[in-house]
Amino acid sequence: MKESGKDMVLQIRNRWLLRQVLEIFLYACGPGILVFLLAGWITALLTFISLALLLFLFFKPWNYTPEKICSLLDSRLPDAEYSSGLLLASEKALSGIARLQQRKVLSQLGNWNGSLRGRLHLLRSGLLAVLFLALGVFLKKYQLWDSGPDRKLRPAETIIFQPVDSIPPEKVVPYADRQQLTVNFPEYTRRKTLRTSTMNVKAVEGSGLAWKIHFNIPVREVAIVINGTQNKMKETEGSYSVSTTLNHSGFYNFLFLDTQGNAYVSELYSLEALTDEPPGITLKGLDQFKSFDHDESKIVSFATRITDDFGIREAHIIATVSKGSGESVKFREERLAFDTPVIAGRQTLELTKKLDLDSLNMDPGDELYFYVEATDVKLPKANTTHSETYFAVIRDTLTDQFGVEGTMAADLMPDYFRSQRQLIIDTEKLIRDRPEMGRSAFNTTSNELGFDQKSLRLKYGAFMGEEDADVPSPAAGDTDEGSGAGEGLAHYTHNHDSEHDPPPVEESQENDKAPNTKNPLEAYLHDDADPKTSAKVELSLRSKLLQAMDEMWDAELYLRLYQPEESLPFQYRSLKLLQEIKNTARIYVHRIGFDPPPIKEDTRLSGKLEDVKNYRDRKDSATDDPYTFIRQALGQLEAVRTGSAEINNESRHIFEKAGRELAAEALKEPGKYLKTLQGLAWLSGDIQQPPEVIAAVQKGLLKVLPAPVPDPKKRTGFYGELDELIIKEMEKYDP
Amino acid sequence: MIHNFISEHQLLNWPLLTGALIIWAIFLWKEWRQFPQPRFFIKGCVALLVVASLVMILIRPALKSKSGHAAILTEGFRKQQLDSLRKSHRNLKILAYHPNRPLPDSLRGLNALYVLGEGVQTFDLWQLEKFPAVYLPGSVQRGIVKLRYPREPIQGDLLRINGIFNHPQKNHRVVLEGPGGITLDSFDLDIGEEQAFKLSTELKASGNFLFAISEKDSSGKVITKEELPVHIRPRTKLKVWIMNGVPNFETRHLKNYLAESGHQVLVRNQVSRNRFKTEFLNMGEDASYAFTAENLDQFDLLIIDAAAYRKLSSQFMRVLEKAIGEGGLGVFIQSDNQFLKSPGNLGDFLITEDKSVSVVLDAWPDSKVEKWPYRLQVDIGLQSQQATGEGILTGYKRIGQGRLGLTVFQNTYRLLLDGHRQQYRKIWADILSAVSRRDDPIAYWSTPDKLIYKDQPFRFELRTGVEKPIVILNDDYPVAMASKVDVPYVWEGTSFPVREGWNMMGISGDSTAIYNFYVLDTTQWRSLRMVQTMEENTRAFSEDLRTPGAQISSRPISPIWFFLLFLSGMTFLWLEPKIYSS
Repeated sequence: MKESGKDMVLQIRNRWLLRQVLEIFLYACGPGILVFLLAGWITALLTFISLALLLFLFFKPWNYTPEKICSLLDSRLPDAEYSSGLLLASEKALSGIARLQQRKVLSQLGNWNGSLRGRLHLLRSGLLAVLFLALGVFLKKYQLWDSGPDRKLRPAETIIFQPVDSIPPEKVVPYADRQQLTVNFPEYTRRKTLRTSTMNVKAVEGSGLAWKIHFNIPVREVAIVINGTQNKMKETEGSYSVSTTLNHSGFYNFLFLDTQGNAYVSELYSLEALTDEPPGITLKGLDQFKSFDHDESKIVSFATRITDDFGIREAHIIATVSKGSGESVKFREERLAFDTPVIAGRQTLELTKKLDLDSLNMDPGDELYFYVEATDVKLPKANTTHSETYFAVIRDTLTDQFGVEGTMAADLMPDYFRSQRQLIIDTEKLIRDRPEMGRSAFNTTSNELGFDQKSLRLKYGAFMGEEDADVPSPAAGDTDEGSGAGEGLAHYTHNHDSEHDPPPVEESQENDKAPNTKNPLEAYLHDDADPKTSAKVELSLRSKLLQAMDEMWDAELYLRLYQPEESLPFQYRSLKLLQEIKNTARIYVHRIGFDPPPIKEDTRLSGKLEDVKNYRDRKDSATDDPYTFIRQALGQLEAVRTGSAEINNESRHIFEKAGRELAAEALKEPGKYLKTLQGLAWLSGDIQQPPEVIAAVQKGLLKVLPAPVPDPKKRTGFYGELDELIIKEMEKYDP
Repeated sequence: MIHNFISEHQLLNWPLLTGALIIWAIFLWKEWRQFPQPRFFIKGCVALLVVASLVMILIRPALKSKSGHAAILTEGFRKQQLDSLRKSHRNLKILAYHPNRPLPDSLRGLNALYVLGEGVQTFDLWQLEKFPAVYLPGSVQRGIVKLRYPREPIQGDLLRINGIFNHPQKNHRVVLEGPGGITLDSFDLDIGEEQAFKLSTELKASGNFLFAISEKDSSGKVITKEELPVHIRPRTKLKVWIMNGVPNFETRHLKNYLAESGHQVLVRNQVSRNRFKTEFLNMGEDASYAFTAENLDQFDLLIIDAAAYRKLSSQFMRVLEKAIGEGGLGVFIQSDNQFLKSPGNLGDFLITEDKSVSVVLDAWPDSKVEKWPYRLQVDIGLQSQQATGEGILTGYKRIGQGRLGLTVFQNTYRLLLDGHRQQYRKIWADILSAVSRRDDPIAYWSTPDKLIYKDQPFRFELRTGVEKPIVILNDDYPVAMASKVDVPYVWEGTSFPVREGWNMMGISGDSTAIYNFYVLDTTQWRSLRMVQTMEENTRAFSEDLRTPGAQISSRPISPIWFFLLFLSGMTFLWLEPKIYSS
């Protein structure tokens, strides 16, 4: 029993000690967390440790001796009758009354043990810690924490300004104490606005950028230089701000004039415009070419996976059915939806489709070619992607012309163009049959002929090696006028010439037919898009072809307007021009190799040379080295580094020019060359740079330079009298 | 003893002795009055001593060294060698070597002098010429001991560095660093005695550049770093005349390639009888294309097809021969089947038929180059430019100052069409660079000293047509030049550069005749320099068979002793009459 008295006191002491330490910890913890949230963990740790030490010194937990506990018990428990000290004494050493008192206190203590809390305030300290935590989170979230002008930004985030010219050392240099870059991503990306103090920008094209800079002391003027264009920053309440839209990659920096007119420039920052990638389409479970017998089940089923970086707006299948062959081929396009619904805005879509050829009214010998088209959410102009074209054909029981000759889809394309002569015959037939035909049938046929006329025109456009955009076109909207004339045409005219929706046949023709016509020539072309040379040598041919296509435009226009009579003269003219071209053209000769001098046809055929003149030409085809100054700068820097030269005005000029060359190169990857560009900018200034900067710039410049192209060189060699004698002697004895 | 006593001036002995005897005789005659007193004999003897001392001072007698050996210790000597020398020669003198300081006189009486270790510097070798010296090479320091690279390549060239590393270590690397410390190439070392290494890089800019070759361990720590100075010359453009008897695709692409690279090209194609198509690419239309030697001298290269070549009249052939032989023109013939069958007299190419019509070059195993079914035969004077194991495909011959080139390739433009652009360019760049006219500089500098160090002799040679050239170093002071007796346009000079880094040497009055060289700090390339010094020492000491003891060695007696003898004799002769009279 006597041990248990002392033990109990010790137990109380230990418990109180533990609570005291816990209290100190909680007190120190609160400010520690606050500092951590606002200033980083090192400062927070220091705050915590120093605060805890101070509290330890204040509370002095080592003072909790058993005697002290007893006196505390005496003061807290009136029932102890100031005799809890007896608990510590040995029972033997006590008198009888004392022994009785000891037992009494002990039994009392047993009852009070649970309610003894000491002078501790665990709840208070805990609450305080929570309060500090909440305060920290609040300040951090709403960025209310601002320690004023003395606040140090992290070095990477501070805008470093350097004076352009040397300034007196005693001068107080203004510096940017606050900076903010706000990036407003385009709405369709559904990304939140970003506020940052990091000045290097990497954002999607079309993002809005806004800068805000505050200086520690007033300055006269602040400007931002984006890709060499200087824009003044607007002052509002001591802060300077400017905003722009990110359209392409590049660089920018800030410059300011202090109140005395000294200029300062910041280091360069990169502007990296990320392009919104067009959707990616993958078709699974489908062969490029598939054929069916007329009696089997004709179902083409496939799954498509469409992905996009910001979201897909819509996806559908463009299917074209061709009936007949040769010059009597007819087309019908349909825009088909997938079986699974397209949920706009998704980044990935898994879609499936079952195409039943029978439901498309396909007969034996008919072909279906289709592709998947997907559009993303980009604004104002969405990205559109087409998949490869796939083919399905129902074998004709009579003439099965299709053989799988190669893997090229284009090899399988039928010759579906009507010739101009055929078109004329058909038009004349249409005019003849008009009285017997109904209005709707007449209009439909006329429109079909118009479409065929267009196909022919596009074919010649492709043949010329040109985009159809180059072909002269009559006033826009003429076809709309035509298509709007009859409701019955809607099925066939189906947005063909709409600017908003690229015509599927045109696309498929461009994708698939163009290689067929262009490929054999392409390998021999020196410069396939060289309108200059083609204009010079084959001026008459080119203009004739353009003229013929012009006629085709008009012919098509009238066919679409259901006026085949009006169309005929244009068709005749077009035919005549085409015939002339066929007779005179030597397109291949020009395209393949040697450029013959322009010779008049009659002269050439006569075999006489009197009128054939000598031909002279002069050209400067040397391409300027885009790295001239970078190469020079390398030599200059090396001279400076090895101590054989110093930076002078001439070398500064070279560095500046090299900087421009590098900037042009760096537009592709702004971040990559930023340091080198920055170094060159510093070197172009008046202030001496350390050797490390020179070495870093040299290194960067060497990386930019491409590998040299093999080029004949002029070697040096001394040829003296002795060499001459030796050669002569050798020649003498050479048999 | 007397046989050990020799003089350096043997020839003077007889006249001197006669003179001395006369002087002594005069003295005796002068003192004859005292004869036969003992004074006379004493003074006579002293006078003899005095006269003898004078003679000795003049004839500088020397003592034959009985025996003696010394060893000069230079860096890298082997301790075992020294120990065994010590064993065989008890009184072996050990001397430390200090470059560029005279060897002590005490070495003169030695029987043999041993040079241990790296050897004395080449500029100190003359000091040992008189000694019966033996060279015992020491051990070579680890590091690069052989190095070969072009000192003055042209921009766009591939800088190839070949070397040998002594005692390489596993997991170490030799790294080629470019300006600014950029790593350009590296080579992994393996353990062994010696390892050959190759490094290369493309030269992208012209000027004076300081590359570096460093040895790094597996953690990337630099063990050694040696400077590698390279003066990169700028590219010069060629002026090319292409002459075709018939238009062909090869020329069409070749002219485009040359013109795009910035070369001046004159293309003259015959399109019909007496009708020509003339194109001036990157050059003025005023250039004359008359086939005269003067006009051809304006061009660096004439590319002529076999059809046009065959049409050349004998007069034009003479013009062409003159332009090549005397003018230094480079001519390249675009051959055809007929030409290769009988290539004509100019150049006397030996051509043999083979059956293959295409060839795969080693550097591009993926593509075939079309060729005529012929190949060039190995012949005196034929420089092979492109060849396979089966024979030479492209080559040229020197004709006088110029060159005549020929290839069996045909339709190389197909490489371009097949997308092998780089290969097409490389083939033609090699052919045309080899054949075209050489730039004849006003001054052609060369040096036998591959490594040039501060305050050490730098020997150089200058070939120039300039009469009595005045060579100025760093626009500062002239260097004395000496013309070679037998080749008067070759001048030699030696300088002691004082400035580390890039130095410049030029001919006074001509700003184009510049030579750039880099002066290294003596700590650079220690191992390489050591091997070079060892080779020089081995060569120098083996030149004349200077075996130990083959030469008589002697130790001169210091004339001070004779002078003291003379002085004391004279003092006695001066004092003696005074003592006697008193």
